[in-house]
Amino acid sequence: MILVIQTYSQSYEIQAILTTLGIPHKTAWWFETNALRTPDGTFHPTSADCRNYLRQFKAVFLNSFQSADSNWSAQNASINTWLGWRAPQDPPIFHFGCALSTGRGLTPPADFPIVLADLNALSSTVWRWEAEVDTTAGYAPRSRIGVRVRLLRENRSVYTRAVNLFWAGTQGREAGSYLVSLAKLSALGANGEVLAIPDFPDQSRLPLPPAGFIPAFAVRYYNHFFMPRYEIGGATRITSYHDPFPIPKSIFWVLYALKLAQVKPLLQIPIVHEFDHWVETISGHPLTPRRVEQLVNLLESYAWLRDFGRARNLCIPFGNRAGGRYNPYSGDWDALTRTNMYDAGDGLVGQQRARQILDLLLDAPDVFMLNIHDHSVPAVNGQGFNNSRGGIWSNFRRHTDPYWQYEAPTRVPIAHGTVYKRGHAPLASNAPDGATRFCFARNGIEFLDVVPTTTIAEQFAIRDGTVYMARLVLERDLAEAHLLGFVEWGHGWRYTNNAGNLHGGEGYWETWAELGFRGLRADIGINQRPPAGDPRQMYYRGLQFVPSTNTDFSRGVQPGLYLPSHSAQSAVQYWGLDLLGEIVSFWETEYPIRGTIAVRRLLGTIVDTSLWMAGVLRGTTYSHPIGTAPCAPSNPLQRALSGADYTGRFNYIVEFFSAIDEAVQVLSDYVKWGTIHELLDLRDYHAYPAV
Amino acid sequence: MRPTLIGYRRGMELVPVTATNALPVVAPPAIEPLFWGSANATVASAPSPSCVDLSGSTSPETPTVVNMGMYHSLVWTGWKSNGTDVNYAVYARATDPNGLPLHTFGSGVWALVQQGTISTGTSAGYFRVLIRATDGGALGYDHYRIVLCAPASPPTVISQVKGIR
Repeated sequence: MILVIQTYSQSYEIQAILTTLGIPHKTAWWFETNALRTPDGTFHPTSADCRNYLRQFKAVFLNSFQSADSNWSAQNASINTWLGWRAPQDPPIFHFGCALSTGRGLTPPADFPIVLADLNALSSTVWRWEAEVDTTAGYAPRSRIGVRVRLLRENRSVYTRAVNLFWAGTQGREAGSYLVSLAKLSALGANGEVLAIPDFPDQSRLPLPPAGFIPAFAVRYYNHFFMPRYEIGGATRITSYHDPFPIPKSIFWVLYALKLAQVKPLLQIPIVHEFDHWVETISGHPLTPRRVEQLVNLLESYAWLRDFGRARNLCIPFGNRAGGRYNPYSGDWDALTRTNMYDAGDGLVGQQRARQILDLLLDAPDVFMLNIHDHSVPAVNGQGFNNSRGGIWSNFRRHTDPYWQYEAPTRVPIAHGTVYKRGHAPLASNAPDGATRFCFARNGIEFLDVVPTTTIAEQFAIRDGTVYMARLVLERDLAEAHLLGFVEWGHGWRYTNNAGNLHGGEGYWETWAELGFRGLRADIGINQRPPAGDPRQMYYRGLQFVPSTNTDFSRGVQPGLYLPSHSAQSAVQYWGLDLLGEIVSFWETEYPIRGTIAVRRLLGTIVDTSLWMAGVLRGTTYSHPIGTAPCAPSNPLQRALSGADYTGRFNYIVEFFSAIDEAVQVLSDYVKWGTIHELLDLRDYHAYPAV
Repeated sequence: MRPTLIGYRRGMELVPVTATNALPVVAPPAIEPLFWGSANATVASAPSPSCVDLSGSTSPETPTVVNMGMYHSLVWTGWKSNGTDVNYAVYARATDPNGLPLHTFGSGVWALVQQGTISTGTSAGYFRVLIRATDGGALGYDHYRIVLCAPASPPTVISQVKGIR
């Protein structure tokens, strides 16, 4: 049992992570000096009763969110009294983001090794590595606090986001890490320990701590663990590309605290990343202009990922951009079948390389799970599966492959006639006959459709969002996948990542359920929200809607980390990595070191986002592999910024998975690389009927 | 009471089923959709079973919906295509144990349950009609025929009927 102590205005997420892991927990509230309000009664925080109460827990998480320039003192007892509670019976107490500053009236013991921050003497009391990093840029998450830390117990470095202290700056919020006295640390012996120190890839350009002190993000003092802040306020969405969305917080430190407390979980959280568009290329890419060269990057990246994934039980749901077989130039199909998808003279080579990629994917169904992702379906914003019900697709084409259910020229209904709940129609027979009586279901209730509009044509007009269109669309996309060779994929896995994250509405939901699908990816943003409710438990007849968020490298033509000619689409802007020009103003004069700042911030945010989506929302992240387009085709697996041409080339797939893998290795009792079925099982495990 | 071998999971906990702790069931919906259809109202000043029903049928002995005994009330929501008022009537009848009407020919085939006029003002629009027994009890009939007529300019009426158990 873990006690999570919150102050006001904090949300459910630490508890959500513990629930996901199957770790029992209780929540207490502490915002009055004399009252720690727990489910078992209110205690005076300095009382012996309180101390005895805390002793029943395996660990206590005190989740603070206090600015270092605030003099709010209600929780001062957590330092002034609790630091003396260090008998063997006292539990480990984790202070997340404790504002250890001089303005609060804190009186820690004389041997306490962390320096209290004095904002009037910043350089000697706080390690402030850059200016105003706790200020968000644009719509982006608070990505500028991305760091790489060295975990001294594991002797490993991980990217994450971390600040221990924050305070108001001139333009936004400043942040820094603790400074620890080496002399006091030494005197403490086994009772003091530095757990995490900065290990930035650009450490050499950063300020040195004062002599005799060391910067630290995590410190142990007896049974008291001083961790980075968990709470991140302010920003409201992951990227400007998406609907408002809960902001990912620094979940890494919660999971790492569980490890330090030696609290074992009942369940592991599977990390699942999804891909869209397996053979997409971009016309006129600024760094890799020829599409056939982009295919080399994709091929090499997939080969790397195949080997990476096989060793780690990683399986990637992979959206086959379907429909190109029926609507030319709208799908991955075209890359295999049309020479004019490529630059002049490259057609045959392009087709061959697309085929090589297909073969690689087909040979690794344990790592790549292809499924339906049809952008050709009309929609309000051209994304498919729109749920608008208003759109008529005037030239819809279905498939003609034999032995399916709805291929042309089978007679299919395309618009409802008179519809009865089955059993309530005044007819001699309630059985569907394939001519004038057809069946469909909604919410588990079967309906009989009498004399609907039918057709035997291959091409006709049909209204989107109906169960009839959904059946035709999904079956033709499955037929296309079969023809590509993905016989057991998608359908066999019974999960799909819908185009544009759109869920299609009830007609589509019913059809997914008919086809036996278990789940589909759905944006939980406001505009396209599937059935209302807790995003961790959205169901329609057993079909799960899995929340996901985009973690693409960059936008538009995928210029990569930073290109002055495409700055708005670059990762630096897309992820809000630069606020004051600290990266772009020095891009060429201090290359690649300034780019390294961007990489550190980006990867720290990526790791947090991935862990947070899986741990809190029990969801996934997704991206488009064409984010590898900026790689040099001569060296597709090039590591970050090792080139010298100011292009910021690096392989996003390699860096993305490697960065998350470091965190997964460190937190291996709690998270793992997983398959979508492990995630769906976990979601099912936690779902129970509302009775 | 000893627990049985049957149990169910509530969160992390396995709950045994006992006489006082029943297996949770998903309650059937209290209101459920039964019918969707479209019809052009008959040109007539007063409704009769010969007028067109909600599915477009003009056969006076044909019910609009059957097997309706389980519903105590009906909610009829719909849309009509112009501002002409529509007169409607709801006819009902009971069936024998074989599902055949108690009386199938001549006068007295149908009992008139409810009639009225639907107005959506001067233009097309949505409407809602609640069909229930005048004594406040359950309707309880097995067959219903819901018909439409208008003296002139009959609109198209698209209907959905829901049953309330």
